[in-house]
Amino acid sequence: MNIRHIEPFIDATVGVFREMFGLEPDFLNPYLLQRDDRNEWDISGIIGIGGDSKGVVVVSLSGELAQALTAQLLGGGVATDDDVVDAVGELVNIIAGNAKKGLEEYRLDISLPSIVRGPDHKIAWQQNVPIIGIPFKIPLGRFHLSIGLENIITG
Amino acid sequence: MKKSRNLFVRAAMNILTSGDVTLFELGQRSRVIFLNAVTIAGAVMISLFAVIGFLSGNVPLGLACAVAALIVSINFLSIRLFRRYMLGGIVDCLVIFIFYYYLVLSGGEAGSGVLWINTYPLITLFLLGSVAGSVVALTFGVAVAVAVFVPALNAAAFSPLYSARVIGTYFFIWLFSFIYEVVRKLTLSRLEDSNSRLAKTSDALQAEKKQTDDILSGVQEGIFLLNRDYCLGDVHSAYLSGIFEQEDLPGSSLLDLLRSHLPEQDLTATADFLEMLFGSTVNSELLREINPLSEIRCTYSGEGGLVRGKMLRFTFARINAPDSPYPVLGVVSDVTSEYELKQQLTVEERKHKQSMENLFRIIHVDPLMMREFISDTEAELEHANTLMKTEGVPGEEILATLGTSSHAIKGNALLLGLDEFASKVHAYEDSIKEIRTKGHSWRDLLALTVGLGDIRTDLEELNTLISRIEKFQLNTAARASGANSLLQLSLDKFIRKESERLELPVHLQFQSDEDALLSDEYRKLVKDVLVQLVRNSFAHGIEAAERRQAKGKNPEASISIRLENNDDELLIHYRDDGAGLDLAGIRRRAAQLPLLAERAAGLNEAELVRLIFMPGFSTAVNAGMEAGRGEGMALVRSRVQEAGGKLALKNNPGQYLEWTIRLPGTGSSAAAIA
Amino acid sequence: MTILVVDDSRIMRNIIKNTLTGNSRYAHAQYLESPDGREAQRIISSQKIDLLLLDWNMPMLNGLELVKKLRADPLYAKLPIIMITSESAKYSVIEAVKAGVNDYLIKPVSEKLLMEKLERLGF
Repeated sequence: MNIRHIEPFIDATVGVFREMFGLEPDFLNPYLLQRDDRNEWDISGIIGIGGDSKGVVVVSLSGELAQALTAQLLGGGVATDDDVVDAVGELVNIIAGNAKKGLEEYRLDISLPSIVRGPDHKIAWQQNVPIIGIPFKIPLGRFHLSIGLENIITG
Repeated sequence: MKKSRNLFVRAAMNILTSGDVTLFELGQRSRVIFLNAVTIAGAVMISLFAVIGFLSGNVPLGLACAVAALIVSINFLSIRLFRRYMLGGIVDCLVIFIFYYYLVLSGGEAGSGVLWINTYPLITLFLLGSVAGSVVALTFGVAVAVAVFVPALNAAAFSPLYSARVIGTYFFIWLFSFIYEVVRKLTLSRLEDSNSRLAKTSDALQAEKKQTDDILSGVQEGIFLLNRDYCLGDVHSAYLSGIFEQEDLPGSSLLDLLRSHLPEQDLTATADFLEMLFGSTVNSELLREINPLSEIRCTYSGEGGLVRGKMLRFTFARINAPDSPYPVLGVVSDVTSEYELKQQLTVEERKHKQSMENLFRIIHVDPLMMREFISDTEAELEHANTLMKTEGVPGEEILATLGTSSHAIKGNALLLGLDEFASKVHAYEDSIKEIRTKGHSWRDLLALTVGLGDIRTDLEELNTLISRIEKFQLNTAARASGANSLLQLSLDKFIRKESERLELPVHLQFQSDEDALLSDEYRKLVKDVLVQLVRNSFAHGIEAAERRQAKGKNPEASISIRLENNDDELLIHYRDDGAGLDLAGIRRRAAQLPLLAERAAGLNEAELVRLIFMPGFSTAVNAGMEAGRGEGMALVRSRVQEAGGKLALKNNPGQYLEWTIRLPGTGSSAAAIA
Repeated sequence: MTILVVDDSRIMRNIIKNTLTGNSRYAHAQYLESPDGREAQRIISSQKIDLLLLDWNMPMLNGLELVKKLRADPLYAKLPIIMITSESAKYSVIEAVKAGVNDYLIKPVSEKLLMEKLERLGF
């Protein structure tokens, strides 16, 4: 795993929060996520990556933050559960899609987003790939970006 | 044959042009040729008349002609010598005037002398020009008229009607010659005009072409035109050859030029894009946005088969001239350096020869020790990662932890001979050190996290390998020997290795009390600490064999370690019989540090000793893999303190250095081992 | 003017619609929505559409496939289509333009860019 393959995702995350919500996320210290780490988040949007590399990109949020961000996208009011699922899916889709710009030397395909919810929900990480966890902080709360990508081996 | 004819023509031209090579102007040149021709012909003819005169006994005629011939001959030479063409012309005209007049007056054969006069207007007009020539020719005409109309004056005694016809003919010839000369001059001058105009236009074109050439040869961009087959036009900037690293570009297809330098995917995109570029369905603005070559990495093979990457920026514009054979203008520039500035750091992928190396190592290493190494390393990684995961921990602290952890991992890896893994961790440690000196950014932490992930991936690979090997290996002996003997084994191995490498003979005396068995909890701690102490002995304490002999010591140094159980306290004695702490060296090093420089001279022994525990403090000049980073002693102290233990040091300069480490409670060691 | 907005995310469809109606020029257009390519295709064949704003990654029938199908039909060969997607790699953009989209916009949707692209298409 190369830092150059991680950065596009971080840039995309920052760009998306700036464009969609007018927010500048703060980075907290990155770390290695253990596959069996307890998950402290309420909702995760997951995009599978295929093609030259295999992996997943996950954006995890607390329920309140997901609710607040969705409401902002809706232009106010209270977001329904369906709205939140929709918004988190779109969020992770845009992050993964935009990150491809920085990884153009590879052909990567991104899946449709899927959503996992509930306290301590489980994410099926692939084996033998380090997962980089990057917590972000915005005024509304905290969210978390996790990236596990197989080494991209050029052909 | 042809050559001699050429020679003849050249000689004739030389004579007729008086050898004047500056005669380029057409009118002047023809005049000179005519002048010389007339002069030569005149000289020959008058000489002929002189001969005839003398032969016929007409001596005065012969003499007169001879003189005239002489004058004309001299004139020919003077024309050749002085190139005063007008003067030569005047002389010719005068001589011919007199000579012809003489012929008229003398009448000649049946009055035929008068016939010659009809050539006179041609001669004067050509030699003297239309105005002066006419004056002379008309003067001659009048003189001839007098001569033919006055019978007394000419020998032939023409009838007045005949005379009138002679004069009429003469004037007609003059008139037509005059008209011809005027027209000729006008034509010539017009020709000259248009010639000079052409010359001027050609100069301007030359100048313009030069400018274009200058631009194309000097511009730091590749400029080219493309035809409908995506082939380059004949004209392109010189820089383009450098960009494509190829000469003879005209006619080559752009796709071919890029083919072996682009990933297949980009090439396909480029082909699609060019198709759209030459089509008309996609508008220019969108085309500009989707240009796949707007910033593209091309690879070229350089010296020694190395692959060089170049960032190229292409822009394309459709040329708005319908039916142009080259409807697209392309500009390409090399933005590699620009791009490299943007690109801060690229992490080189480690080769995967590592797993092979590991495989061979492991076969010769006790799987139990390998397992121990892996679990120790995992624990180290976990220790560091836990700290990273904890929100609010300052980066400096994370870096310090990563530093000591990777140092410990590296030591253990070297112990087992996992050199590749160790050098990887060593490089990781180096980067931590570098980041610590220059101050860290968030990105640095990210890079270190990614690095940590790599180390863990390697470790998992190692683990898989060991599991595989364990299935084949049935080494029960090592398994039964327990943690303490394992410790002795690995330390012994480490010391042997270091001893060989540094050419310092060292002998290990290891003693472990029956009840001083190491618990799982301390197993790793004790080993880490002892490894660091051994390193320190090798780096700073143990002298070379000759030196030891000179001091009356045994040339083979000894390190003795004893583990002891003392009232539920684990006691570790470590002693090397080296030179002890180099207090003077520590003081010198302290004097170089900005924080300590002033106080260095006044530090007492205890204070100097304490300095060796300061993270980053080392007296070694070059940091090698074995010692000199200044992390070792700091690691020892922090580990011992973390475990709630105590550390004591006894320094006997020149004789020995002794460490005593106390750790609380040995734990239920026996149970843990069993 | 009838604009069909196709995106599997309802929120994204809303955002696009709100961005457009916020501009007086497009405030009075008629807006139709579809969450996937297949339904979009049904709508297009059943009524006249002036502009198609289309996502790429969608269930059932994705945007790119829809564009290919539409362009293959002479009836829709000239239908103005702007693809609005998170797919940002240049090969993706080329792929879409090759398939026949008139313009391409990368999410998140920037109002300024969207307006520019609409104007460029003459809306």
